Amino acid sequence: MRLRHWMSAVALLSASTGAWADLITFSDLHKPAHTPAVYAGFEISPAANTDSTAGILDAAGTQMLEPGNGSFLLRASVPYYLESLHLSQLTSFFGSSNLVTLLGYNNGVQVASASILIGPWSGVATEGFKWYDLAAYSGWNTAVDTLVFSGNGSTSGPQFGLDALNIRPVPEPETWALMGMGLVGLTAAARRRQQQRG
Amino acid sequence: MFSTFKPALFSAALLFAAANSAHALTFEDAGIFPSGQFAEIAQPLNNGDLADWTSFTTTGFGNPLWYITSDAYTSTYGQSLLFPSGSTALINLDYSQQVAFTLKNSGQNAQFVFNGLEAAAFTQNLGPLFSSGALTVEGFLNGQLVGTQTYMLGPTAFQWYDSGFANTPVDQLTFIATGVGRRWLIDNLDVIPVANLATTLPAAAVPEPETWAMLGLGLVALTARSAKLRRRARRQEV
Repeated sequence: MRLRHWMSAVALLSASTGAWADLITFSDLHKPAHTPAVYAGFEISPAANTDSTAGILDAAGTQMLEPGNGSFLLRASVPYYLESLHLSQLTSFFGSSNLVTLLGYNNGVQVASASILIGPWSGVATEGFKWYDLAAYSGWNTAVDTLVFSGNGSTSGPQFGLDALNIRPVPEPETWALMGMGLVGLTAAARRRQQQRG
Repeated sequence: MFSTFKPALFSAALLFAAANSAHALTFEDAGIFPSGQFAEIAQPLNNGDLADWTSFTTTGFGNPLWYITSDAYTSTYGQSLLFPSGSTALINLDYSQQVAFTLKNSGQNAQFVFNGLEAAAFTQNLGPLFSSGALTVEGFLNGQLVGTQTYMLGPTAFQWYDSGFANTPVDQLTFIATGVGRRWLIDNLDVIPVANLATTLPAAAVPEPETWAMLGLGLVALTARSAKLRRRARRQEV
């Protein structure tokens, strides 16, 4: 393999890694209650609280978000694709949610929604966190900039926990260009090799 | 030549005297911060500056308006911004484009005049989706649009903007950002109930002698002038 081939391969690889998914775990987030916080390119609404995931099975990291009064909002600085969510039912004195309603917005327009069943009604959260794939719900192949999470339990208790988000950035034009260049380079190299053989 | 300007000058003197008695909302009330340096403005409003003001309505998600301190703004968003009127400002933290602000006095809609505001755009540190580079204020009276003005805002400093329709009584102001979820900050909203325009002027707590002098001068001169005009008119009749 000559230098040029290497360069094409590297360009292709770096472009595709840029478009790989990001895992947002909220684990090193310091958020006082009733106050917004900025974390990993997101603004987390005052209505979300942070809580320890200790004692809940299969947690990704040490912290999760939970609704302080029934629902909360996550706003991102740039639109992205939401692939999947790590959710668990939480039980408290105030009860629990077995259904999480998620709405996705882009520039103020609702583009996607999902009603995610996360456990038995009023059951104890013994199953721990599970990944829920948004591909099963409509609209999530559209990029979103804002997510609104709501539970169906009491608005006083934590209801449910959001342990992590799995997101995929929208590739920027430069990324596409770089990827295209890499592909063209690799194709050209392959063709040339074939010609040399033939 | 100069005499033609005299009435205008005297009127201006009267106007200045009125402006000195203006009551501006600067959103200062430390008691409303139960949990940090942000505070949600609940409905009905019953705290601090905004005791007589109510009906914040919005077309998006979350809570329409918040108080924010300069310290909290800097530490949360990484942008240092000098708040010119005290340490607290008003901010539209919600995910919407419009916030309406209505004055109600004793359960009744009251008319007020809007003289201007001190405003800034939200920082661009979180990306352009969060920052409103302009703010449009619409004034309504009995549901009819009676004034509108757009102010270009900067994200690094507050600036004072004259209303553009200060002579038109309104009963509602609507604040419109450049897009959904785009934010502005207001540190000083100069609004005066029309009723107060008439009654509080002579009753201003500490009237400065110069103000009285200017006011008196303006009145005396206007009276003198109208008398003169009347005399001249009578002479011409003769």
